[in-house]
Amino acid sequence: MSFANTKCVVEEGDTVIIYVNPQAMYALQVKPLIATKKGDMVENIFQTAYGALKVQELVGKKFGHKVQFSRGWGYLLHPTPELWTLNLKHRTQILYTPDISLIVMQLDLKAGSVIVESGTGSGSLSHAILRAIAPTGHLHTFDFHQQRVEIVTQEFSDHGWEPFVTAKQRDACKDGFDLENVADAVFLDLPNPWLAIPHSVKALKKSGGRICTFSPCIEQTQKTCEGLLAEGFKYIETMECLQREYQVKNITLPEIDDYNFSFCNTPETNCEGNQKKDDRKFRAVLPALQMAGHTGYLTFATWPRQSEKCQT
Amino acid sequence: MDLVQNDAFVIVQRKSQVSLHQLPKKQGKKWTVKIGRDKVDISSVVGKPHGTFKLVREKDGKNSVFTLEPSDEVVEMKDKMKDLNSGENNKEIWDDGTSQQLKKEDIEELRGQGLTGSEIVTQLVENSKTFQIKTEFSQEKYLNKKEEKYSEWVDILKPNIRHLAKHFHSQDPMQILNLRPDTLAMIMSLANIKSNGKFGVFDGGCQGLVTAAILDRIQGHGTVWNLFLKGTPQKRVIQAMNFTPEQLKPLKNCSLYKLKETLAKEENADGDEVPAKMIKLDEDAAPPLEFGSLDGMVIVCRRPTTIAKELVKLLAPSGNFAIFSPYSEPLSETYIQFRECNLAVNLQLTETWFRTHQVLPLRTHPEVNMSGSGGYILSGIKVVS
Repeated sequence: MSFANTKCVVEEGDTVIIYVNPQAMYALQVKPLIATKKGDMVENIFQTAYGALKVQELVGKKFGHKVQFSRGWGYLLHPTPELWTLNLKHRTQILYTPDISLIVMQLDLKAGSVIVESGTGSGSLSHAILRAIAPTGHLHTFDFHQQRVEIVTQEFSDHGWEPFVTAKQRDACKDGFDLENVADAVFLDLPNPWLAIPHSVKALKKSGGRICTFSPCIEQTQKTCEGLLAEGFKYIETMECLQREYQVKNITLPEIDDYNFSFCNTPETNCEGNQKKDDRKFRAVLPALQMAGHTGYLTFATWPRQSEKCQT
Repeated sequence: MDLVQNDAFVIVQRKSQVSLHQLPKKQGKKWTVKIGRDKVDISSVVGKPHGTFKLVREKDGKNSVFTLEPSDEVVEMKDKMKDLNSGENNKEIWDDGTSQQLKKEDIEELRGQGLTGSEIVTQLVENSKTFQIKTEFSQEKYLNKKEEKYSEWVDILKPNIRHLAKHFHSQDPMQILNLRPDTLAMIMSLANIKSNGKFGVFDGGCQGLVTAAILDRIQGHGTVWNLFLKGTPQKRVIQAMNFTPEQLKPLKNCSLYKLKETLAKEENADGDEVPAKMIKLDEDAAPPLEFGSLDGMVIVCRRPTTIAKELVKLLAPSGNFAIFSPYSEPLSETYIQFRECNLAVNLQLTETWFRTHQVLPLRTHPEVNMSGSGGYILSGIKVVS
């Protein structure tokens, strides 16, 4: 229940993040019992790389402090949409923080915004949207897959987002959103987003708004842009955003890499006349050797305020 | 409906050209600004809804001023001229400087005669020996380029963070420490900015952009401590947002030197009881700023190495921070410092790579120019070890 409002101490029902190291983080819901694969209810014990954790015993523990496992320890962290994105169970491909951040800002989302999202997928973007629009806005999110809707509805309720979100099963391309003149923004992550553009126009407020579509392929983006232009959208912009992560390392080169050579016989000096320090030690800011090179193209556009005569 | 007010800021957008202007305080006062090469009296938009306006010449003459009239019927030049002939390729087009028959003085004279933008472009096209043998794509590109200068329509927009971040960055990136809009978006996520939270911002040179972005996001719900060392806190972007008093309510300015004194006094006074009478009950007052009290923290400066470690003391355990610098080196120092002192987990030094694309039928490709860097962010979550 703890995403929306920050608290200091864990209560039963909260979702928490157990942080062991950057590669080992887990999202857990604090409850005494958990269902096995067979459906039997057993004591909620979570196995980490450093031994077992009795999850119910987290109740009353402080966020940001250490928690003990049977053979080691980790940190107990307050959940955030970013940590959720890294730790949620994938039902679909998900959006990650760099794209999510850009979407939230470029759609002008703020407390009080009303936004339509389709499809919901695994709810990665939904959590960041909810953080931005609560406690006065609303998210209408649609997915054509019934099971996904059920799972994400449960998660929204577990995380305390229930008052700010409506999740429904619906094929947006075929059936539209059944919403009229309510939305400040629409987000489409669909295989054929151009089919949902006329429905989006209907959902957007007559006073104007923003739209965003996410597509991995440029051919989809091309069709979307044509669709947006034909429908009367303005300021159509397509962009992509990737994250470059750096490792920070204090490096001491082994002697074998020490090419301390000079054509002069006297020790090398720098321009101020000081003798050079140990060349084998330095601080390196090293880009990751592997990185995501493509996620998708984000297309944004503005739906202009509709003047009286256009409303007929 | 949302009408343009006196004294308010507006964004003026003519095709891709964006500028920021403040309207006159007094009703009815003329307010002439330059939009591109044209002088425009923008006081004519006061009292009208934001939207598209047409440049209308007040009277003929060389130095005449335009006024703005609401108009939704935008006619693009390429639509006006779509019936013209076009060529197959540029085989017959020679760059010998003679294709345009009009000289610079002729064009100036046309402007002086009071021709509209599209009339001037029509003249340019009619007097070009090569326009009609250019390919269709090339003609469109030419007209779009001319439209940037001569378009008779401008949009008067209500400033928001998206516009202002882009405007300040494109005007001169270093005036906001090269804090690119997509980097600002990342900071808002990584510092976990949300309503009903308590946040600290140290703005060492981005003109109040981050503070304005937070105030806009939370719309009056929560507290934003604007922390500063000397002089007055940065506020240029905050002013340009036309915030209402309600939206500005969360903003509390706090000098770090004063805070240091207060915190030292509190430490000394530990144990002394305050007479109950002296405690004022003020429901609206922000909770006091003390160590371990903030949910999130944003630090923006060139060299955060010394101040970052101190400011993180104000964060609550499990609080999120994002430290921005246009340089990676000071952030790498801070990274090592935080790691060695076990101050934080999930420490990440990142930058975002951002580019835009031209998407047109058969002409889709990344834009030729892009920004090479948008600054670096060191982010993490504070822990108690």
